[in-house]
Amino acid sequence: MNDLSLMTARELGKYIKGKQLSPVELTKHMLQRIRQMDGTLRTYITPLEELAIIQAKDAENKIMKGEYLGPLHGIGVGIKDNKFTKGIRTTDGSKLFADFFPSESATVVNKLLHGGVIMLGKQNMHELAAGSTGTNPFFGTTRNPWNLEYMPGGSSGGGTASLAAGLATLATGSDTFGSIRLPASMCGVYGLKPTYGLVSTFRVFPSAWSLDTVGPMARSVGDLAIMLQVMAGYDPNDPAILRVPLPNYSEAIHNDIKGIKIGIPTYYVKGLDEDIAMLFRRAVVQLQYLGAEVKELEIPELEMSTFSGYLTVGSEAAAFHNEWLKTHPEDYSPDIRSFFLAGSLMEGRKYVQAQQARRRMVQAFEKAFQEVDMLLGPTIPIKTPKFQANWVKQNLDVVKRTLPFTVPVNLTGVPALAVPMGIDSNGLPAGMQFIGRHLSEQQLLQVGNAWEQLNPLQFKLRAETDNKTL
Amino acid sequence: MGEFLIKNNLQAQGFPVIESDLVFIKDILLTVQKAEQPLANAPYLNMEVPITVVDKELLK
Repeated sequence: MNDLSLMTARELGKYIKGKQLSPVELTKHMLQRIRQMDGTLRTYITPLEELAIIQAKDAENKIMKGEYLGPLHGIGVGIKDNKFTKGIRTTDGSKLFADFFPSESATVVNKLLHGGVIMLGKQNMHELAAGSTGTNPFFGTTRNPWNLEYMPGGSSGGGTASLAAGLATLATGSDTFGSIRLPASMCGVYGLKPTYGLVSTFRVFPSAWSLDTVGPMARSVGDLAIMLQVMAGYDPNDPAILRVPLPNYSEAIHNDIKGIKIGIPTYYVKGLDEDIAMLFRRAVVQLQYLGAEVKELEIPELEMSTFSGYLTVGSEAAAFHNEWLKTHPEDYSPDIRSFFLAGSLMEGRKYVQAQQARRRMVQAFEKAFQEVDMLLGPTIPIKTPKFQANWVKQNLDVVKRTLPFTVPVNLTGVPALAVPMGIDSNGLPAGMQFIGRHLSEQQLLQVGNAWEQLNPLQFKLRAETDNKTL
Repeated sequence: MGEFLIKNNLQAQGFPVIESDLVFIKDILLTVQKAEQPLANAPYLNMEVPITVVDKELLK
Protein backbone atom coordinates (compact mmCIF):
# COMPACT_ATOMS: atom_id res chain seq x y z
CA MET A 1 0.00 0.00 0.00
CA ASN A 2 1.31 3.46 -0.91
CA ASP A 3 1.53 6.45 1.43
CA LEU A 4 -2.00 6.69 2.85
CA SER A 5 -1.88 10.46 3.09
CA LEU A 6 -1.44 10.92 -0.66
CA MET A 7 -3.73 8.19 -1.96
CA THR A 8 -7.01 9.14 -3.60
CA ALA A 9 -10.39 8.42 -2.05
CA ARG A 10 -11.05 5.86 -4.79
CA GLU A 11 -7.85 3.99 -3.94
CA LEU A 12 -8.46 4.13 -0.19
CA GLY A 13 -12.12 3.23 -0.63
CA LYS A 14 -11.25 -0.10 -2.27
CA TYR A 15 -9.15 -1.10 0.73
CA ILE A 16 -11.74 0.15 3.23
CA LYS A 17 -14.58 -1.65 1.48
CA GLY A 18 -12.45 -4.80 1.33
CA LYS A 19 -11.77 -4.49 5.07
CA GLN A 20 -8.02 -4.31 4.34
CA LEU A 21 -7.74 -0.79 5.75
CA SER A 22 -9.20 0.40 9.02
CA PRO A 23 -10.85 3.85 8.91
CA VAL A 24 -9.55 4.35 12.46
CA GLU A 25 -5.95 3.67 11.42
CA LEU A 26 -6.34 5.88 8.35
CA THR A 27 -7.81 8.71 10.42
CA LYS A 28 -5.08 8.45 13.05
CA HIS A 29 -2.50 8.60 10.29
CA MET A 30 -4.06 11.75 8.82
CA LEU A 31 -4.41 13.44 12.23
CA GLN A 32 -0.79 12.68 13.05
CA ARG A 33 0.31 14.26 9.80
CA ILE A 34 -1.85 17.33 10.49
CA ARG A 35 -0.23 17.66 13.94
CA GLN A 36 3.23 17.43 12.38
CA MET A 37 2.80 19.79 9.45
CA ASP A 38 -0.05 22.18 10.05
CA GLY A 39 1.77 24.44 12.46
CA THR A 40 3.58 25.73 9.39
CA LEU A 41 1.00 25.28 6.65
CA ARG A 42 -2.06 26.51 8.62
CA THR A 43 -4.58 24.67 6.50
CA TYR A 44 -6.96 24.08 9.41
CA ILE A 45 -8.56 26.62 11.73
CA THR A 46 -10.16 23.97 13.95
CA PRO A 47 -8.87 20.40 13.67
CA LEU A 48 -11.45 17.92 14.99
CA GLU A 49 -9.30 15.12 16.41
CA GLU A 50 -11.74 13.66 18.94
CA LEU A 51 -14.76 13.86 16.65
CA ALA A 52 -12.81 12.38 13.74
CA ILE A 53 -11.81 9.35 15.82
CA ILE A 54 -15.42 8.86 17.00
CA GLN A 55 -16.66 9.06 13.40
CA ALA A 56 -13.90 6.68 12.24
CA LYS A 57 -14.81 4.12 14.91
CA ASP A 58 -18.45 4.37 13.90
CA ALA A 59 -17.48 3.88 10.24
CA GLU A 60 -15.35 0.88 11.14
CA ASN A 61 -18.17 -0.72 13.15
CA LYS A 62 -20.63 -0.24 10.34
CA ILE A 63 -18.28 -1.63 7.70
CA MET A 64 -17.42 -4.66 9.81
CA LYS A 65 -21.17 -5.32 10.11
CA GLY A 66 -21.53 -5.08 6.33
CA GLU A 67 -23.17 -1.64 6.34
CA TYR A 68 -20.85 0.02 3.80
CA LEU A 69 -22.29 3.43 2.85
CA GLY A 70 -20.37 4.04 -0.37
CA PRO A 71 -17.07 5.32 -1.72
CA LEU A 72 -16.75 8.15 0.82
CA HIS A 73 -17.25 5.89 3.84
CA GLY A 74 -14.31 6.26 6.19
CA ILE A 75 -12.55 8.90 4.06
CA GLY A 76 -11.12 12.04 5.70
CA VAL A 77 -12.58 15.32 4.48
CA GLY A 78 -11.70 18.93 5.30
CA ILE A 79 -14.69 21.25 5.66
CA LYS A 80 -14.18 24.85 4.58
CA ASP A 81 -14.97 27.01 7.58
CA ASN A 82 -17.81 28.89 5.92
CA LYS A 83 -20.06 25.82 6.16
CA PHE A 84 -22.09 25.56 9.35
CA THR A 85 -21.30 22.54 11.51
CA LYS A 86 -23.69 21.88 14.39
CA GLY A 87 -22.03 22.58 17.74
CA ILE A 88 -18.63 23.13 16.08
CA ARG A 89 -17.07 26.56 15.72
CA THR A 90 -17.68 28.04 12.27
CA THR A 91 -15.72 31.25 11.67
CA ASP A 92 -16.02 32.05 7.96
CA GLY A 93 -12.33 32.84 8.38
CA SER A 94 -13.32 36.01 10.23
CA LYS A 95 -12.82 37.53 13.66
CA LEU A 96 -16.51 38.49 13.48
CA PHE A 97 -17.50 34.85 13.90
CA ALA A 98 -14.59 33.62 16.01
CA ASP A 99 -17.02 32.34 18.67
CA PHE A 100 -19.92 31.24 16.48
CA PHE A 101 -21.20 27.73 17.18
CA PRO A 102 -24.13 26.97 14.82
CA SER A 103 -27.19 25.07 16.01
CA GLU A 104 -27.48 23.18 12.74
CA SER A 105 -25.22 22.04 9.94
CA ALA A 106 -25.15 23.06 6.30
CA THR A 107 -27.11 20.72 4.07
CA VAL A 108 -23.94 19.81 2.19
CA VAL A 109 -22.19 18.85 5.43
CA ASN A 110 -25.11 16.62 6.38
CA LYS A 111 -25.03 15.00 2.95
CA LEU A 112 -21.33 14.23 3.30
CA LEU A 113 -21.83 12.84 6.79
CA HIS A 114 -24.65 10.61 5.51
CA GLY A 115 -22.13 9.41 2.93
CA GLY A 116 -19.91 8.28 5.79
CA VAL A 117 -17.07 10.84 5.65
CA ILE A 118 -14.76 11.57 8.55
CA MET A 119 -14.57 15.30 9.32
CA LEU A 120 -10.88 15.98 9.92
CA GLY A 121 -11.48 19.61 10.72
CA LYS A 122 -12.70 23.04 9.72
CA GLN A 123 -10.35 24.47 7.14
CA ASN A 124 -8.68 27.80 6.78
CA MET A 125 -9.83 30.24 4.16
CA HIS A 126 -9.35 33.78 2.97
CA GLU A 127 -11.36 35.94 5.33
CA LEU A 128 -15.10 35.86 4.58
CA ALA A 129 -14.41 34.04 1.29
CA ALA A 130 -13.79 37.44 -0.26
CA GLY A 131 -10.14 37.27 -1.30
CA SER A 132 -7.84 35.23 -3.50
CA THR A 133 -4.50 34.86 -1.70
CA GLY A 134 -5.09 32.84 1.48
CA THR A 135 -3.81 35.47 3.90
CA ASN A 136 -5.65 35.47 7.19
CA PRO A 137 -4.41 37.76 9.98
CA PHE A 138 -6.84 36.28 12.50
CA PHE A 139 -6.30 32.53 12.12
CA GLY A 140 -2.92 32.42 10.39
CA THR A 141 -2.01 32.63 6.74
CA THR A 142 -2.07 29.38 4.79
CA ARG A 143 1.18 28.55 2.99
CA ASN A 144 1.57 26.85 -0.35
CA PRO A 145 3.07 23.36 0.27
CA TRP A 146 5.02 23.61 -3.01
CA ASN A 147 6.97 26.56 -1.60
CA LEU A 148 6.13 28.21 1.69
CA GLU A 149 7.03 31.67 0.40
CA TYR A 150 4.21 31.50 -2.14
CA MET A 151 0.47 31.91 -1.67
CA PRO A 152 -1.91 28.93 -1.89
CA GLY A 153 -4.66 31.06 -3.40
CA GLY A 154 -8.10 31.60 -2.00
CA SER A 155 -10.53 31.65 -0.71
CA SER A 156 -10.57 27.83 -0.35
CA GLY A 157 -6.77 27.79 0.06
CA GLY A 158 -6.82 25.80 3.29
CA GLY A 159 -8.52 22.97 1.45
CA THR A 160 -6.31 22.95 -1.62
CA ALA A 161 -3.10 23.30 0.40
CA SER A 162 -4.21 20.43 2.65
CA LEU A 163 -4.75 18.26 -0.43
CA ALA A 164 -1.36 19.16 -1.89
CA ALA A 165 0.34 18.35 1.43
CA GLY A 166 -1.61 15.16 2.14
CA LEU A 167 -3.42 16.61 5.15
CA ALA A 168 -6.84 15.65 3.78
CA THR A 169 -8.02 13.16 1.18
CA LEU A 170 -10.88 15.39 0.04
CA ALA A 171 -11.90 18.97 0.73
CA THR A 172 -14.97 21.12 0.31
CA GLY A 173 -14.79 24.53 -1.31
CA SER A 174 -17.03 27.37 -2.30
CA ASP A 175 -16.73 29.53 -5.39
CA THR A 176 -18.20 33.03 -5.77
CA PHE A 177 -15.56 34.52 -8.06
CA GLY A 178 -13.04 31.70 -8.34
CA SER A 179 -12.53 30.45 -4.79
CA ILE A 180 -12.39 26.77 -5.77
CA ARG A 181 -10.62 27.05 -9.12
CA LEU A 182 -7.97 29.62 -8.27
CA PRO A 183 -6.45 27.88 -5.23
CA ALA A 184 -6.77 24.51 -6.95
CA SER A 185 -4.59 25.90 -9.73
CA MET A 186 -2.04 27.44 -7.37
CA CYS A 187 -1.74 24.21 -5.36
CA GLY A 188 -1.77 21.75 -8.26
CA VAL A 189 -5.02 19.94 -7.39
CA TYR A 190 -8.46 19.55 -8.96
CA GLY A 191 -11.57 21.59 -8.19
CA LEU A 192 -15.08 21.67 -9.60
CA LYS A 193 -17.30 24.75 -9.51
CA PRO A 194 -20.72 23.19 -10.20
CA THR A 195 -23.69 24.67 -12.02
CA TYR A 196 -25.37 27.34 -9.90
CA GLY A 197 -28.04 25.64 -7.77
CA LEU A 198 -26.77 22.06 -8.18
CA VAL A 199 -25.32 21.90 -4.65
CA SER A 200 -27.20 23.42 -1.73
CA THR A 201 -25.79 26.56 -0.13
CA PHE A 202 -28.19 26.35 2.83
CA ARG A 203 -26.32 27.31 6.04
CA VAL A 204 -23.19 28.27 4.17
CA PHE A 205 -22.10 31.82 4.96
CA PRO A 206 -23.08 33.93 1.95
CA SER A 207 -20.54 35.97 0.02
CA ALA A 208 -22.79 37.05 -2.88
CA TRP A 209 -26.05 35.11 -3.04
CA SER A 210 -26.51 35.22 -6.80
CA LEU A 211 -23.01 33.83 -7.45
CA ASP A 212 -22.29 31.49 -4.52
CA THR A 213 -21.68 27.82 -5.27
CA VAL A 214 -20.32 24.95 -3.20
CA GLY A 215 -18.17 22.24 -4.76
CA PRO A 216 -15.63 19.46 -4.33
CA MET A 217 -11.82 19.62 -4.38
CA ALA A 218 -9.51 16.61 -4.61
CA ARG A 219 -6.26 15.16 -5.94
CA SER A 220 -8.03 13.42 -8.81
CA VAL A 221 -10.98 13.94 -11.12
CA GLY A 222 -12.39 10.57 -10.11
CA ASP A 223 -12.59 11.76 -6.53
CA LEU A 224 -14.41 14.92 -7.60
CA ALA A 225 -17.01 12.71 -9.28
CA ILE A 226 -17.74 10.57 -6.23
CA MET A 227 -17.80 13.62 -4.01
CA LEU A 228 -20.17 15.57 -6.27
CA GLN A 229 -22.48 12.55 -6.35
CA VAL A 230 -22.97 12.91 -2.60
CA MET A 231 -22.94 16.72 -2.37
CA ALA A 232 -25.40 17.53 -5.19
CA GLY A 233 -29.15 17.32 -5.06
CA TYR A 234 -32.41 18.98 -4.10
CA ASP A 235 -32.74 20.79 -0.79
CA PRO A 236 -36.11 22.34 0.12
CA ASN A 237 -34.31 24.83 2.37
CA ASP A 238 -32.40 26.43 -0.51
CA PRO A 239 -34.56 28.77 -2.61
CA ALA A 240 -32.05 28.69 -5.47
CA ILE A 241 -31.64 24.91 -5.65
CA LEU A 242 -32.33 23.03 -8.87
CA ARG A 243 -34.71 20.09 -8.91
CA VAL A 244 -33.05 17.91 -11.54
CA PRO A 245 -32.21 14.21 -11.81
CA LEU A 246 -28.55 13.52 -11.07
CA PRO A 247 -26.55 11.43 -13.54
CA ASN A 248 -23.93 8.96 -12.37
CA TYR A 249 -20.96 11.31 -12.47
CA SER A 250 -18.44 8.44 -12.52
CA GLU A 251 -20.17 6.45 -15.27
CA ALA A 252 -18.61 8.03 -18.37
CA ILE A 253 -15.46 9.26 -16.76
CA HIS A 254 -13.14 6.82 -18.55
CA ASN A 255 -14.56 7.48 -22.03
CA ASP A 256 -12.08 8.99 -24.47
CA ILE A 257 -12.49 12.53 -25.72
CA LYS A 258 -12.01 11.97 -29.45
CA GLY A 259 -14.10 14.45 -31.38
CA ILE A 260 -14.99 16.65 -28.41
CA LYS A 261 -15.10 20.26 -29.58
CA ILE A 262 -13.28 22.72 -27.37
CA GLY A 263 -13.48 26.48 -27.91
CA ILE A 264 -10.84 28.88 -26.70
CA PRO A 265 -12.26 32.36 -26.24
CA THR A 266 -9.69 34.92 -27.39
CA TYR A 267 -10.58 36.78 -24.16
CA TYR A 268 -8.75 34.02 -22.27
CA VAL A 269 -5.43 34.32 -24.10
CA LYS A 270 -4.92 38.04 -23.63
CA GLY A 271 -2.58 39.46 -20.99
CA LEU A 272 -1.12 36.13 -19.89
CA ASP A 273 2.16 35.86 -18.02
CA GLU A 274 4.71 34.27 -20.35
CA ASP A 275 4.82 31.00 -18.39
CA ILE A 276 1.05 30.70 -18.38
CA ALA A 277 0.92 31.34 -22.12
CA MET A 278 3.54 28.64 -22.79
CA LEU A 279 1.95 26.05 -20.53
CA PHE A 280 -1.47 26.75 -22.02
CA ARG A 281 -0.22 26.40 -25.58
CA ARG A 282 1.35 23.08 -24.66
CA ALA A 283 -1.91 21.95 -23.02
CA VAL A 284 -3.88 22.74 -26.15
CA VAL A 285 -1.48 20.62 -28.23
CA GLN A 286 -1.85 17.76 -25.76
CA LEU A 287 -5.64 17.96 -25.91
CA GLN A 288 -5.48 17.79 -29.69
CA TYR A 289 -3.24 14.74 -29.32
CA LEU A 290 -6.00 13.18 -27.19
CA GLY A 291 -8.44 13.73 -30.05
CA ALA A 292 -10.15 16.98 -29.11
CA GLU A 293 -11.03 19.42 -31.87
CA VAL A 294 -9.91 22.89 -30.81
CA LYS A 295 -10.95 26.23 -32.27
CA GLU A 296 -10.73 29.87 -31.26
CA LEU A 297 -13.89 31.85 -30.51
CA GLU A 298 -14.71 35.52 -30.13
CA ILE A 299 -17.01 36.21 -27.18
CA PRO A 300 -16.89 40.00 -26.84
CA GLU A 301 -19.52 39.98 -24.08
CA LEU A 302 -16.88 38.60 -21.72
CA GLU A 303 -15.35 42.08 -21.66
CA MET A 304 -18.22 43.06 -19.34
CA SER A 305 -17.18 40.48 -16.74
CA THR A 306 -15.02 42.73 -14.59
CA PHE A 307 -17.70 45.39 -14.27
CA SER A 308 -20.45 42.89 -13.64
CA GLY A 309 -18.33 40.86 -11.23
CA TYR A 310 -17.22 43.74 -9.05
CA LEU A 311 -20.70 45.23 -8.97
CA THR A 312 -22.38 41.96 -8.07
CA VAL A 313 -19.89 40.76 -5.47
CA GLY A 314 -19.34 44.21 -3.98
CA SER A 315 -23.01 45.15 -3.70
CA GLU A 316 -24.29 41.81 -2.40
CA ALA A 317 -21.45 41.42 0.11
CA ALA A 318 -21.95 45.01 1.28
CA ALA A 319 -25.63 44.29 1.89
CA PHE A 320 -24.84 41.23 4.02
CA HIS A 321 -22.16 43.06 6.03
CA ASN A 322 -23.85 46.45 6.28
CA GLU A 323 -24.44 46.48 10.05
CA TRP A 324 -21.18 44.79 11.05
CA LEU A 325 -19.19 47.25 8.95
CA LYS A 326 -20.74 50.01 11.09
CA THR A 327 -20.43 48.34 14.47
CA HIS A 328 -17.29 46.17 14.15
CA PRO A 329 -15.10 47.69 11.42
CA GLU A 330 -11.94 46.64 13.28
CA ASP A 331 -12.96 42.99 12.93
CA TYR A 332 -12.26 43.12 9.18
CA SER A 333 -8.88 43.11 7.44
CA PRO A 334 -8.26 46.35 5.54
CA ASP A 335 -8.54 44.64 2.13
CA ILE A 336 -11.89 43.03 2.88
CA ARG A 337 -13.29 46.10 4.63
CA SER A 338 -12.26 48.29 1.70
CA PHE A 339 -13.81 45.87 -0.81
CA PHE A 340 -17.14 45.83 1.03
CA LEU A 341 -17.17 49.58 1.69
CA ALA A 342 -16.53 50.17 -1.99
CA GLY A 343 -19.55 47.93 -2.56
CA SER A 344 -21.58 50.22 -0.29
CA LEU A 345 -20.78 53.09 -2.64
CA MET A 346 -21.87 51.29 -5.81
CA GLU A 347 -25.11 52.61 -7.24
CA GLY A 348 -28.28 50.52 -7.47
CA ARG A 349 -28.63 51.48 -11.13
CA LYS A 350 -25.22 50.04 -11.88
CA TYR A 351 -26.00 46.85 -9.97
CA VAL A 352 -29.00 46.37 -12.27
CA GLN A 353 -26.81 47.09 -15.33
CA ALA A 354 -24.45 44.40 -14.09
CA GLN A 355 -27.35 41.93 -14.06
CA GLN A 356 -28.36 43.00 -17.56
CA ALA A 357 -24.78 42.39 -18.69
CA ARG A 358 -24.99 38.94 -17.09
CA ARG A 359 -27.94 38.07 -19.31
CA ARG A 360 -25.93 39.09 -22.36
CA MET A 361 -23.09 36.86 -21.18
CA VAL A 362 -25.45 33.92 -20.64
CA GLN A 363 -26.76 34.38 -24.17
CA ALA A 364 -23.22 34.60 -25.54
CA PHE A 365 -22.22 31.37 -23.80
CA GLU A 366 -25.34 29.61 -25.11
CA LYS A 367 -24.40 30.71 -28.62
CA ALA A 368 -20.84 29.48 -28.12
CA PHE A 369 -22.11 26.11 -26.91
CA GLN A 370 -23.96 25.67 -30.20
CA GLU A 371 -20.51 25.56 -31.86
CA VAL A 372 -18.44 23.73 -29.25
CA ASP A 373 -18.97 21.29 -26.39
CA MET A 374 -16.97 23.29 -23.88
CA LEU A 375 -14.68 26.26 -23.48
CA LEU A 376 -11.12 26.31 -22.19
CA GLY A 377 -8.82 28.94 -20.75
CA PRO A 378 -6.14 29.36 -18.13
CA THR A 379 -7.74 29.53 -14.67
CA ILE A 380 -5.87 32.75 -14.00
CA PRO A 381 -3.53 34.83 -16.19
CA ILE A 382 -0.70 35.08 -13.67
CA LYS A 383 1.88 32.79 -12.13
CA THR A 384 1.35 31.90 -8.48
CA PRO A 385 2.70 34.96 -6.64
CA LYS A 386 5.11 35.09 -3.75
CA PHE A 387 3.74 36.69 -0.59
CA GLN A 388 4.67 40.37 -0.36
CA ALA A 389 5.08 42.49 2.77
CA ASN A 390 2.31 44.84 1.64
CA TRP A 391 -0.31 42.11 1.77
CA VAL A 392 -3.35 44.40 1.81
CA LYS A 393 -2.44 45.95 -1.53
CA GLN A 394 -1.32 42.57 -2.87
CA ASN A 395 -4.64 40.96 -1.97
CA LEU A 396 -6.60 43.60 -3.84
CA ASP A 397 -4.19 43.48 -6.80
CA VAL A 398 -4.47 39.69 -7.11
CA VAL A 399 -8.28 39.97 -7.17
CA LYS A 400 -8.01 42.66 -9.84
CA ARG A 401 -5.80 40.47 -12.04
CA THR A 402 -7.61 37.16 -11.57
CA LEU A 403 -11.32 38.00 -11.23
CA PRO A 404 -11.75 38.70 -14.98
CA PHE A 405 -10.74 35.06 -15.65
CA THR A 406 -12.71 33.40 -12.90
CA VAL A 407 -15.93 35.38 -12.52
CA PRO A 408 -17.51 34.81 -15.98
CA VAL A 409 -18.41 31.30 -14.89
CA ASN A 410 -20.11 32.59 -11.75
CA LEU A 411 -21.93 35.37 -13.57
CA THR A 412 -23.42 32.89 -16.05
CA GLY A 413 -24.06 30.03 -13.61
CA VAL A 414 -22.25 27.42 -15.70
CA PRO A 415 -19.91 24.74 -14.31
CA ALA A 416 -16.12 24.79 -14.62
CA LEU A 417 -13.46 22.23 -13.80
CA ALA A 418 -10.01 23.46 -12.77
CA VAL A 419 -7.12 21.11 -13.50
CA PRO A 420 -3.35 21.46 -13.19
CA MET A 421 -1.67 22.26 -16.52
CA GLY A 422 1.97 22.29 -15.47
CA ILE A 423 4.70 23.81 -13.34
CA ASP A 424 5.86 27.38 -13.92
CA SER A 425 9.45 28.60 -13.96
CA ASN A 426 9.32 29.24 -10.21
CA GLY A 427 8.41 25.61 -9.60
CA LEU A 428 4.78 26.39 -8.68
CA PRO A 429 1.71 24.79 -10.29
CA ALA A 430 -0.47 26.56 -12.82
CA GLY A 431 -3.95 25.53 -13.90
CA MET A 432 -6.57 25.78 -16.58
CA GLN A 433 -10.35 25.52 -16.55
CA PHE A 434 -12.80 23.62 -18.72
CA ILE A 435 -16.09 25.53 -18.87
CA GLY A 436 -19.27 23.68 -19.81
CA ARG A 437 -22.90 24.42 -20.49
CA HIS A 438 -25.34 24.24 -17.58
CA LEU A 439 -25.44 20.79 -15.93
CA SER A 440 -22.63 19.39 -18.08
CA GLU A 441 -20.56 18.25 -15.09
CA GLN A 442 -20.47 14.67 -16.35
CA GLN A 443 -18.78 15.72 -19.60
CA LEU A 444 -16.38 18.09 -17.85
CA LEU A 445 -15.31 15.25 -15.56
CA GLN A 446 -14.81 12.97 -18.57
CA VAL A 447 -12.49 15.46 -20.29
CA GLY A 448 -10.76 16.27 -17.01
CA ASN A 449 -10.09 12.61 -16.35
CA ALA A 450 -8.60 12.14 -19.82
CA TRP A 451 -6.39 15.15 -19.18
CA GLU A 452 -5.34 13.82 -15.77
CA GLN A 453 -4.04 10.62 -17.37
CA LEU A 454 -1.31 12.73 -19.01
CA ASN A 455 0.02 13.52 -15.53
CA PRO A 456 -0.02 17.27 -16.18
CA LEU A 457 2.32 18.18 -13.32
CA GLN A 458 5.13 16.60 -15.32
CA PHE A 459 5.04 19.64 -17.63
CA LYS A 460 7.71 21.84 -16.15
CA LEU A 461 9.15 25.14 -17.32
CA ARG A 462 12.69 25.90 -16.22
CA ALA A 463 13.39 29.19 -14.51
CA GLU A 464 15.36 30.37 -17.53
CA THR A 465 12.40 29.28 -19.72
CA ASP A 466 14.80 27.77 -22.22
CA ASN A 467 12.04 26.29 -24.31
CA LYS A 468 10.50 29.36 -25.84
CA THR A 469 9.61 27.60 -29.04
CA LEU A 470 6.53 26.04 -27.53
CA MET B 1 -14.67 59.53 -6.86
CA GLY B 2 -11.86 61.10 -4.84
CA GLU B 3 -10.98 60.32 -1.26
CA PHE B 4 -12.86 63.37 0.07
CA LEU B 5 -16.13 62.29 -1.55
CA ILE B 6 -15.61 58.66 -0.58
CA LYS B 7 -15.22 59.69 3.04
CA ASN B 8 -18.27 61.96 2.89
CA ASN B 9 -20.47 59.32 1.29
CA LEU B 10 -19.42 56.63 3.74
CA GLN B 11 -20.03 58.91 6.71
CA ALA B 12 -23.42 59.87 5.30
CA GLN B 13 -24.33 56.19 5.36
CA GLY B 14 -23.16 55.86 8.95
CA PHE B 15 -19.91 53.99 8.35
CA PRO B 16 -16.93 54.80 10.55
CA VAL B 17 -14.11 55.74 8.20
CA ILE B 18 -10.56 54.49 8.62
CA GLU B 19 -8.36 56.93 6.74
CA SER B 20 -5.89 54.30 5.53
CA ASP B 21 -8.73 52.46 3.72
CA LEU B 22 -9.53 55.38 1.45
CA VAL B 23 -6.74 54.76 -1.03
CA PHE B 24 -7.85 51.13 -1.46
CA ILE B 25 -11.52 52.03 -1.83
CA LYS B 26 -10.61 54.64 -4.41
CA ASP B 27 -8.60 52.08 -6.37
CA ILE B 28 -11.47 49.57 -6.38
CA LEU B 29 -13.94 52.20 -7.58
CA LEU B 30 -11.50 53.26 -10.27
CA THR B 31 -11.20 49.64 -11.42
CA VAL B 32 -14.98 49.44 -11.69
CA GLN B 33 -15.14 52.74 -13.54
CA LYS B 34 -12.62 51.54 -16.12
CA ALA B 35 -14.41 48.21 -16.42
CA GLU B 36 -17.63 50.01 -17.29
CA GLN B 37 -16.30 51.07 -20.68
CA PRO B 38 -17.15 47.82 -22.54
CA LEU B 39 -20.82 48.38 -21.72
CA ALA B 40 -20.77 51.09 -24.37
CA ASN B 41 -20.24 48.30 -26.92
CA ALA B 42 -23.40 46.50 -25.77
CA PRO B 43 -26.24 48.32 -27.53
CA TYR B 44 -29.67 48.39 -25.88
CA LEU B 45 -28.37 46.76 -22.72
CA ASN B 46 -31.11 48.66 -20.89
CA MET B 47 -33.70 46.54 -22.70
CA GLU B 48 -32.41 43.32 -21.16
CA VAL B 49 -34.30 41.87 -18.23
CA PRO B 50 -31.74 41.70 -15.42
CA ILE B 51 -30.67 38.28 -14.18
CA THR B 52 -32.47 37.56 -10.94
CA VAL B 53 -32.57 34.60 -8.65
CA VAL B 54 -36.13 33.52 -9.30
CA ASP B 55 -37.28 32.43 -5.93
CA LYS B 56 -40.01 29.91 -5.20
CA GLU B 57 -41.42 32.38 -2.68
CA LEU B 58 -42.10 34.73 -5.61
CA LEU B 59 -43.88 32.11 -7.67
CA LYS B 60 -46.36 30.79 -5.11
